[in-house]
Amino acid sequence: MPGTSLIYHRVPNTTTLNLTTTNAVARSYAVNLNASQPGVLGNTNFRAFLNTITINFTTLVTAASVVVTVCKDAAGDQPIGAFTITLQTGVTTATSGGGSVKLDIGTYLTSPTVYYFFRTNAGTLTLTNCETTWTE
Amino acid sequence: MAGLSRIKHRVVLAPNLGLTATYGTARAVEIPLYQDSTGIDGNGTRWNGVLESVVINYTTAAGIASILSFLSRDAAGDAGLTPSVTTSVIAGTTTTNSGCIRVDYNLTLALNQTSLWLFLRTNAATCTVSSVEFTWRE
Repeated sequence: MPGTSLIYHRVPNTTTLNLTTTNAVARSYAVNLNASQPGVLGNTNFRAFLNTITINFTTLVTAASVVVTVCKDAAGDQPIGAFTITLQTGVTTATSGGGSVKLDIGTYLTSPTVYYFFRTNAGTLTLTNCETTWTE
Repeated sequence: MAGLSRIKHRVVLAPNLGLTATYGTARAVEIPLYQDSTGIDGNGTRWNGVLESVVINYTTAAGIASILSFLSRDAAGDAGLTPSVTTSVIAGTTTTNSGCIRVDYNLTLALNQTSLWLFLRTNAATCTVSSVEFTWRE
């Protein structure tokens, strides 16, 4: 019997953000979830499953975790969830590292763009990479 | 009704890796995710799937209670993908200095790479990692 695989999408974002302990528009990303398939008919909406966010960072000072708040608007006033990423520091460079968090959100949004607001639990770091995985 | 089974994959390694109580690049195992499926179209640079779990067997344990592990995107261990987790060992019945741990991930990812690196250390003392079996599904 044939297997049926999911269709996966990867949305990278390499805009650098200097994170602190508070959310702010200056420390947010606009994420176009349909960036990997701009030609798909009907992609003015976004109907899919948000799976995972991964991040990478440098210049870590004190922080042990990052909270990413996913919002429908650029102002950050319409959140659809907040998720804590436990940071794993580097083996050869202790101020660098990364992490991931499962979102597991089924969505039907009227726009393919969502906004991620980032903050640390304490201290600061520089966010260098953020990747979103979603599946159809 | 059509079946909706998910295609499973297993990466099997025999690293014979001596662990200590600290992480290090010499105590990491590269996980080539396409080890059992090298003919998949387009698998040269990317990987999509669900990381399921890893089973790690060890021998010659000397006073360890747990093994700590994390996954990294790079061989240096500076691009962590999962946080370090501590897993209590299950010691063997007839050979008590052998045993295993299992770590579950269930992490859905689309990656721009085809290998990950598993970093390992003990809570204390030493052991030898004899096998690593990593499972993922499409």
